[in-house]
Amino acid sequence: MRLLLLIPALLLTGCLESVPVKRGFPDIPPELVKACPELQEATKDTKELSKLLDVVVVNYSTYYECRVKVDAWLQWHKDQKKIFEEVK
Amino acid sequence: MWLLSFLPDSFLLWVINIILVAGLVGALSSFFIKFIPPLMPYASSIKFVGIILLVAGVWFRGGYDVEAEWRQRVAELEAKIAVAEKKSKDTNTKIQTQIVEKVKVVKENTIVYRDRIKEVEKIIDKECKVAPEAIDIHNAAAKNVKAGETK
Repeated sequence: MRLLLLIPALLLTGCLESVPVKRGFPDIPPELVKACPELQEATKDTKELSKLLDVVVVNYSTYYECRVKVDAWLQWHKDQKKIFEEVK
Repeated sequence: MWLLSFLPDSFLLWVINIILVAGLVGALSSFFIKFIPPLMPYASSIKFVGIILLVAGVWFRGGYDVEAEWRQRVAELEAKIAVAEKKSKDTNTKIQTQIVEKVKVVKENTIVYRDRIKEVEKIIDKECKVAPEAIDIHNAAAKNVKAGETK
């Protein structure tokens, strides 16, 4: 009789299953893996305001390029998260 | 149960059904074996083997059904993942294009601003000389040097 109790347990082992479905981490656009550049410095002997202003403009440009990348990262995360959550 | 994946579905089902039916017949043999006198001496053995086959058949049938269900789920999930990966790549292409376009606009603007500085260079420099301290402060800010070290 005790042995009969083992039968349901034995039968249930037939239902054991593990199915691995692999899912890769999404790729990152190549432009996003480039680090933001350093800001430029004015040369020590700069006397003209126009030259200093030129460096400032270049640095503003660097900031805006970097901002584009940060915005793109946020967009990438939002989109990829949405796509990830669609698969259930 | 992973061994089942090496056999074709139809063959597997056929073998399992035969084991199940044989087991059922063997297990119920006590009801009809008395009508077949030559088999009477083997009645208990047939019943015992029948029960073993019935248990094995139920076990295999359960495993097969679960296997079939999992295979279907895996196929569905793999299809969804393939769609998601395509969407992900499309999104990346879109974002990459946007970055390139926006950076291009920033660079074009920079060229315009630098040209404008050159155009009015003489006006800007006419009444203003930059003190070396201003350069130091600018460079320290650009390099994000610790505030106390700028003096």
